[in-house]
Amino acid sequence: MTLWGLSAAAMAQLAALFGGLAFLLYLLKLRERLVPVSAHFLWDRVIKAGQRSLLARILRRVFSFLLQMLILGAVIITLGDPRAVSTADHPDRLVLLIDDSASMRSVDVPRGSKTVSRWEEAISKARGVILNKRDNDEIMLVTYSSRASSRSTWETDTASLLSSLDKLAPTDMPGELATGLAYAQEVLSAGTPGKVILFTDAAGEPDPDILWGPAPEDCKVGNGLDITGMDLHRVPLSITPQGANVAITQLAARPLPTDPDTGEVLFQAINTGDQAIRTRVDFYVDGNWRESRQLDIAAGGEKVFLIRLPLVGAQLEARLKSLDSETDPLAVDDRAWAVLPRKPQPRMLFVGRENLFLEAALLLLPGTIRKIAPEDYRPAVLEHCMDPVGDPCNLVIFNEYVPESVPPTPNQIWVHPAGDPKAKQPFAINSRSKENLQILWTGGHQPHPIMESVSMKDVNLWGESTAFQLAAKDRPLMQVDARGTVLSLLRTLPTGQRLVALGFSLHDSDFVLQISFPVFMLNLVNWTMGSTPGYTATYPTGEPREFFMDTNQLRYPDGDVLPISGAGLVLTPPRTGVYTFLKDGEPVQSIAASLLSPAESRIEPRPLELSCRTPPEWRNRFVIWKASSSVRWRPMLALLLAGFGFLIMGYLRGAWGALLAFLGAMSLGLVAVYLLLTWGYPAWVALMGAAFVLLCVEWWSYHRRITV
Amino acid sequence: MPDPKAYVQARAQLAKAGIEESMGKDFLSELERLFLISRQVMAGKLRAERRTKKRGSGLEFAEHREYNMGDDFRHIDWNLYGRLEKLFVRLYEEEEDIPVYVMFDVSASMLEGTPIKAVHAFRIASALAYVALAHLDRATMLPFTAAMEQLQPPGRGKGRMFKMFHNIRNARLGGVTDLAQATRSFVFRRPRRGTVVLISDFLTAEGYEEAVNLLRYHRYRVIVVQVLSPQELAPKLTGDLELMDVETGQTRSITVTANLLRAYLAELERYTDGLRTFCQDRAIPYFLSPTNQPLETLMLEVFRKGGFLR
Repeated sequence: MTLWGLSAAAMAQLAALFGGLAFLLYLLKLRERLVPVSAHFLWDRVIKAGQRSLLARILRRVFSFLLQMLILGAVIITLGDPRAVSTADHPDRLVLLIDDSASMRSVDVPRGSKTVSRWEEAISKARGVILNKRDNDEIMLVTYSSRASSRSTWETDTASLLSSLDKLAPTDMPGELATGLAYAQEVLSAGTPGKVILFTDAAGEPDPDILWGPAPEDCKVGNGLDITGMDLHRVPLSITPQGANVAITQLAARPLPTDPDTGEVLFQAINTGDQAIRTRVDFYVDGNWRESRQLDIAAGGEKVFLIRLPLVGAQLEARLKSLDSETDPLAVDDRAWAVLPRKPQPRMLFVGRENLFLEAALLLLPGTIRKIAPEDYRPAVLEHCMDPVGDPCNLVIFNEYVPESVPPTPNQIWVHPAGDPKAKQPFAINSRSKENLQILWTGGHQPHPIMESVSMKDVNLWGESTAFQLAAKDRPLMQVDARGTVLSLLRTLPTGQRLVALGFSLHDSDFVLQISFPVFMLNLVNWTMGSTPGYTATYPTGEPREFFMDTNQLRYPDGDVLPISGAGLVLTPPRTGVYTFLKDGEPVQSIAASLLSPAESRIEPRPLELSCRTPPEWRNRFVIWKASSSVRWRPMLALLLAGFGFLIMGYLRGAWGALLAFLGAMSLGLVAVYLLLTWGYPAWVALMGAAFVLLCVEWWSYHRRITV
Repeated sequence: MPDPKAYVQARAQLAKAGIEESMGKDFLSELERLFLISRQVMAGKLRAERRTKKRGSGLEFAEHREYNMGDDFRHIDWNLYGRLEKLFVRLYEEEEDIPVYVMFDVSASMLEGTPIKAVHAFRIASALAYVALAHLDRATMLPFTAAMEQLQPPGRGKGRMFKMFHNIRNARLGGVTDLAQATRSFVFRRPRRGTVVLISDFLTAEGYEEAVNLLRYHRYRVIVVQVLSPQELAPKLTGDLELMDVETGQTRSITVTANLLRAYLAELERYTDGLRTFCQDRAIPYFLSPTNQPLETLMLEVFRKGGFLR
């Protein structure tokens, strides 16, 4: 026992001072108050019948004085802040490996009359381990989900560890036990061996009190991590499933090529429970409600659908709500976010043979257009589209012209790439023809959006036309016969870049005279511009992504702003919601992050995926959480009952009553100290609790004249 | 511990001051008001009209008696002589005033309480005496402790009050209560028979029975008024105390608990019930008057109910 507060000498001085004062007051209290009465004889009759003996009266006064001394003693010792010292010859090194994945937010751990989250339960038990450690035991706090990190250094100081523990919070990332174990293994690889104490909901065992000992040889977990020899222990969490969990597992949005203000939303939800459930999903754009849909999801099933919504805004949010139950054990997977693509205005460069019909149709479109002659074309022109310092072009149209080299970046529309078949164009030419042709196929029953509201039935082609060879991921747009002679094709490159080739000349066709020609051009440009390179509707939490942007701040979904430096940033979104990159406080780009993890949303505890060549030898019970099971309730209840019993017997006449009352007070004080100490409270709290109990007893007994 | 004698002297001075204060104009006005109230209560009755067993010259016919030599001729009933041919005289009831002796205890025990019991007793005695004098009765106020120091004979007329006050001013307050001795010294002086109002706390170990019986034996009509202070009726004592008997100076160390207090109250109730029963058994009106009870209430309600005032 060491004193962390006042020294023993200071405590002795305080005890002498206040004890002396209390004794003086006690002596003054001993002086009886003189009360004149008209006659004694009535009192004499009463006194003979019921007055206590002199010994009893003295004892009761002493009892009162002793109670006061006990209270004073408890308060003074509290000021000394005594702490038990327990050292070990071979101190332990413990890695407290705490799962902070999204499923730990599940609220399904009964505690008394309420239900708490798995995270609260894990922290509470980790606190118990820290409070029960010996003074020279070293502990490191490590949390893991899809990544693992140390939350403290190797610490022996209980207060510091508790402070670090209190700062922890669960993430919205999926958990990977192997990641955590690998990190713990790495941490323990240097220095003396230690134990890994695991707090997770990802590994349930039949016997909750059994913990593992050193894992046997060739023992692998999860993704193949070899944990042979790891001294692994698990502190069980008292999880009681609270009903089915429904979760959003997919959310994506894209604008329609023909109508950029309307988008298609892909949504998927799953039901992890064993009973069918009715849910409703609500879609919000920039916080404003747009659409709701009711879903009946079978037990263990899923629902996927596409829905068209007006998507004028920046963010899409889906909220899932169970209609069959009030609460959902895991709320974090009931919401998902997506950012909506910002389609750029076309900055077009027209290169090639003049065509008034084509140029007139392009002028009807939004955006800007620059026209240059083929001989003026240089690839550098694309870098500054409209003026020497302007933005680069994002669409180039080569009309019956094939440049010397294929430009690498913008989207491209090639109209009748004539000339040498071996010229450097991006499309392989199958054949050329000068026959009169008619386009017989434009997608069949499922035409491409470019062909929406466009008919090629009466279009005549009389000049030279080109048939293309389809590459691996090319898509035909128009064919002239059933044999598959492709006259027009579409290509989307992995970078998002889009290319379109038309194998006929607009000069040698009456297509430009058709009323649907401007519509065709509108669809064509919309589709070609529709691809937003690098656009992702929502990112899964816990997956690292690299971003290159000219920004200097990142705003998290909870409003925290993190300064960043340099153009490159690897972000692993820890929380669901919308993150915004800022440049001097101004938004540059937003990204959305959602859990979208069916594995994480299946919250029922599952056995650890452990494979060992020889089965692990289960050890005897190894109780780390001493506090929860070390209270000896029977003697404690007996002492409690005895305390109250003695107090009640304090009504007895004579010295016995006084003695029993004092014993009762002492018993209750002891119960308070014992309970608070075994519950893991420091000694000063236990002493203050005891002082409070004694004070209550003194108050109670004083008002019943047990003490005087 | 304070000297009991000094304590009693201090209390006596306090009581005297209270009595002196009660003798002021305010109290006399209050007495006058009480008298008016008593007239309402006794409306229709003649003053000093107390029928006695004496036969005399009153107006109320009582009986006939044979004529004897020397009887007044005026009282011969000639009508009866006409019928019986014998001489009879008519006898009438004698009407006379009845003396009222108001004895009030001024021993040391009566100096306790707030308000002081002796002061309250004095006020009750004064009121009764005043009402009696105002009704043309004879009345006197007799303070007593262990004995009756002097017996002021009852007088007539409201002016008598001041003489009574003068005598009370000179009375000694304090000392030991001895009801039996006090009544003995009263009856041995053979005052004329009448009504004796005995005002005391009756808190005496020797008892009250002998005193009351002695008065009854000498054919006095007795009325008992017990005066107790609120501190005696509902004491608020707790803890370790030393009780001092103000009359004897003896002390007792006790620890007052809630139980003990309850036992004391039960004992006090038993004691006052004993006195009440004793009086009721002997057809003696009994009143318990706490010192905080207004005088008017006592006069109007308690006394009338008890038959003292009609």
